[in-house]
Amino acid sequence: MEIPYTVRPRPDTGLANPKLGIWLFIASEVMLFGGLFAGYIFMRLGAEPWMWPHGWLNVPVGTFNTFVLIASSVTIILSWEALKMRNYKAYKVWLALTWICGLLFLAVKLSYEWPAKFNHFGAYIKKEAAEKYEPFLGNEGPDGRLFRGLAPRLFISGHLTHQHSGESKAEFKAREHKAWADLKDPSVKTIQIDALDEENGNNPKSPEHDRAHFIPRDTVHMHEPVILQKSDLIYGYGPFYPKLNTYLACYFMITGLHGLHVLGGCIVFIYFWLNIKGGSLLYHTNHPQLCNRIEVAGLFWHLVDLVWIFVFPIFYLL
Amino acid sequence: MAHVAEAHAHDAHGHDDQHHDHHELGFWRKWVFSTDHKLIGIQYLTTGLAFLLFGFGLMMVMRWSIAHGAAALPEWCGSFLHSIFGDAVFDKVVNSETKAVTGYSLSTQGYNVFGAMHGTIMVFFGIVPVAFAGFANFVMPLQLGAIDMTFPRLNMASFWSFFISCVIMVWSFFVEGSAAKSGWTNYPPLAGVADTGPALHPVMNGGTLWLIGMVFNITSSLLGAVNFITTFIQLRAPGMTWGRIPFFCWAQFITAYLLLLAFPPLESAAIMNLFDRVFGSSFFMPTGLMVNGLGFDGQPLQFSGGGSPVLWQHLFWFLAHPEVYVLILPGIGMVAEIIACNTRKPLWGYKAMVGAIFTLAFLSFIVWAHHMYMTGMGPKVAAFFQTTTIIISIPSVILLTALLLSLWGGSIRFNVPMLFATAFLPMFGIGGLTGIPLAFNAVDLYLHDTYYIIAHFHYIIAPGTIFAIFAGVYHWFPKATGRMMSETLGKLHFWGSLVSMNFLFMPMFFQGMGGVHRRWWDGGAGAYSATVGPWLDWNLKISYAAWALGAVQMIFVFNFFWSIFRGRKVPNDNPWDATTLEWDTPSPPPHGNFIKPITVYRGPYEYSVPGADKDFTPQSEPPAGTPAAVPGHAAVPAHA
Amino acid sequence: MSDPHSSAPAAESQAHASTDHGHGSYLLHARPYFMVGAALFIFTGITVALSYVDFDHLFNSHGMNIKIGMAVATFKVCLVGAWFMHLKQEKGTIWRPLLFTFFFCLGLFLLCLLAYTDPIQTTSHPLH
Repeated sequence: MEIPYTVRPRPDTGLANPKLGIWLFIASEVMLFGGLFAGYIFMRLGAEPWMWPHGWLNVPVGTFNTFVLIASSVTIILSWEALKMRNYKAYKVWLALTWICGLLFLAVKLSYEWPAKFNHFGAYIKKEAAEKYEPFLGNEGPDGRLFRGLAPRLFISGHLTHQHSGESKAEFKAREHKAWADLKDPSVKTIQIDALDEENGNNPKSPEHDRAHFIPRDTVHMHEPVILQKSDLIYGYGPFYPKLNTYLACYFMITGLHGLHVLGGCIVFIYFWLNIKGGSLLYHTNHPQLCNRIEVAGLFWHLVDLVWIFVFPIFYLL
Repeated sequence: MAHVAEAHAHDAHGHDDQHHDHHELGFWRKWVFSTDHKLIGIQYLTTGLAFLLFGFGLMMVMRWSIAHGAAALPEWCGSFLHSIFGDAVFDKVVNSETKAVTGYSLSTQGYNVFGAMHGTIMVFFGIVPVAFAGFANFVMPLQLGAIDMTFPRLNMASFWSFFISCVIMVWSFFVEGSAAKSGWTNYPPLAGVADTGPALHPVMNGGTLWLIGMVFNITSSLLGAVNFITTFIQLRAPGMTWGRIPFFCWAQFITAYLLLLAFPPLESAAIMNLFDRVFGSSFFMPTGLMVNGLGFDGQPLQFSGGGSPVLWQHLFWFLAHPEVYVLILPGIGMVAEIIACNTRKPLWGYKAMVGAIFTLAFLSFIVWAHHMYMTGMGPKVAAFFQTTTIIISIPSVILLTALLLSLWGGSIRFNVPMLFATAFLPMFGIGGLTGIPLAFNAVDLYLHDTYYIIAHFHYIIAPGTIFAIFAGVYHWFPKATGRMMSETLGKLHFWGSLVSMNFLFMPMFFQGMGGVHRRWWDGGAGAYSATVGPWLDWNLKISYAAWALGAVQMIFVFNFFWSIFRGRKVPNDNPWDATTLEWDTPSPPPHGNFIKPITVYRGPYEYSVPGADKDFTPQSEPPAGTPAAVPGHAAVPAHA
Repeated sequence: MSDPHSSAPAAESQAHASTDHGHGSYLLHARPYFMVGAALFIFTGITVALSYVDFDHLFNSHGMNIKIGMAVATFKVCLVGAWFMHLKQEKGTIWRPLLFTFFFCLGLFLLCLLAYTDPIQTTSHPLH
């Protein structure tokens, strides 16, 4: 007494149950990410025109990740074709490459991209206090942003600490730890920044900073640390966390949810790849069912790739 | 060689899915963690009915507050409720001279808690699990001639995800600050700041738990919707073409599609709200927001700003409008079945009704902003939504008209299900027709957030869907248990409910038109008596009707449980002489549902066919003069 | 002698695993996938390159970069959907509801945008 059409398709609809099921699930995922992108649209429209950040994400790394995901989309479908043609070795190899690519994507994101944000400091300056920080904002005077008809820059970012020459790693870590802790300490009224981002630290008035750069630029070590008064800053200053601004809130939420989907897909692929009862052992006992499972998982994986195809330009490029 | 390979493959099939059929299941796998759709349906039904009662109880306490303001609750319930819900929700009423505690009353914050949870519980934990998940799970596979749902384990997972969301919602009453209090609609900025602050836990607070519970609830509905749609398309018995499917199944199929596509944006909005509350982001927090008592007075609130409160409203109502059709369509489906069965004639306009629900479903995705006329919409967008909202009334009227016309010329027997089903029609009519003026923003300007709106939607859900649910319970109880519910008690339940519901909700239309606002904890007696004074007398009368309605439901609860053990046994498997396939099974149906393979030969409403020897012909009965077709040919193969 | 084996040579070769098939056989069907994959790589590069061109200035219009970027992304999504997800050969039961899904998703975006860009400008109240 088995549920019919779990493997073989039903003659009149031409579909097998899992394929119909996964397409319905994909439709609901499209609506889910649609809701998230609607959020992005509102956040972007609601921000002051000059306040939406550009160039905060590493484009080469993001492009690399995009290539990784596209490659994994190709490998999963090759794996399925090989499986259908009963080429066991090729099926296993392509499937392994798929989940390896998926894990590589996550590794890049979690070991480089996200930590790069968490270690970066940013603060929005209150409009009234902007004059004090003019050397780092480049708004006033000839060639300043206001002179060129651009909106004033009111954001300072960089690294709180920088390893001095002659300083040991342990000392540097301790100093770094203290610098972050001082942010939250109400008795400490100032913030000290050792290294500023280029647009703050290297001739802020230069028109170079008005266009996007493909190769990300290093932070500039300041000869004298920059001192910010906490009272001059808008709430939320600190690492590039979701609470700093709505761009980061959108970025972490959407890439976070996408990353969870990548992780889920990888787990499913690893489960099918292993020689266990519900996985590759099915090759010998119920080959059509394994083909179905790989196809269904592949469809989910292509959805994950689809979402990234939209996420990449929206956050990294536009 | 080939034969060996094939035989090998045959054996192997038996070991794949459903292998548990081959050996006896333990108690937990059979009665708790079952994958059988009938048990899962009953699990949803009983949990949902319990929550309906709970949500109703919350409202009965609120009606005391509306009628009597800050006066103490009656002794027999005041201290008991206070001991359960605590100080966050109930205030002590103190005698000013003796300083002794004389009783407890619902505090203003408590009123907000009960109000928000009443709405949430009734919609997401009451009606949807009962009318959609419960009934569709139990009845739909049987009516389609299937042995179970397409994905039984997914079905079980859906129920337990729902159960987790129930636990979270109930738990939220017992955390510091009590449950969510920003309305079932949970509008920000209040939704972002309520239940936050130094005295409260960052995650274990009412507002955040509400969001987490909703995420589990939504996941459960989404997975369930996938199951229902695939079952409807793939597991119909041989011979069951699209035109032979009972209308109940069509209604549940469309409901599943609404849930599938409309719920995810709310899930994304809930995730954004969770980010705001837990990580301090500003998805919904506008720039420069100041809230009294939070942060430094006169200083903007501690958010980065740039957010949009209206975004939440868009995403919420994008779901919540299709959600209201989710609430009504299963009810219409049940009423259609019961009317056809008890008038002994086919449904009038079956094709028109199916077409109407398709149109309704499509349009329901583009009408949502009629819940948002007060957000400062300009003429273009307001005109768009007014137009689509008026157009969507047409399929609803088609459905109601077809059901009314189905009564014409029928040989009606007024058993209890039919009483509820017949009463559904004018009640749903009142609810639906009072909605039409609201489609226009000029009218909504005046009536928004008044008791007119409450009366409008309660007429549709309470004497509408809930009556349809009662009809369904009385109608399918014999199938599920093999016993009939008591007719006498059923009739008492019906008349008591009908009368008290009308006394309860009809005056609210007039209160609303007179200006009485929603969500006033004292019904307007305190601050607004000058403007709505003449209508305040009705508050007490409405409250009496509410308490009477609650008392009458006890008859149903007693009848339900008593009949399981002592109800009159059914005379045969088909006590209502109905035509649809679920009556071709034993009552209650065994695992696997059908004891013989089913083939469908005719439409679902072959009642009173001229020239036939009985006044009904089951769908699976072969045409006269032909031998029963050999099952299994075009059919369900023995192994997939 | 010929009976049991000659009757089902095809079944026999199917029942055996990979040894009969060379590595080339599944790749015969794989050409479209490689082509689509290559197209995706190329268009990713194009997307990145286009993002450094200031279309707003060129067309003297607002938001052109976004529109062009989204157009390229939509094209790539169609490639993935049609070939990798086999929508090109799929039944109507699959792609018709998907069409509705995209319509509703677009409806969500566009109607929200409409509401955002069309607020109440003024009242016609005589005193305000």
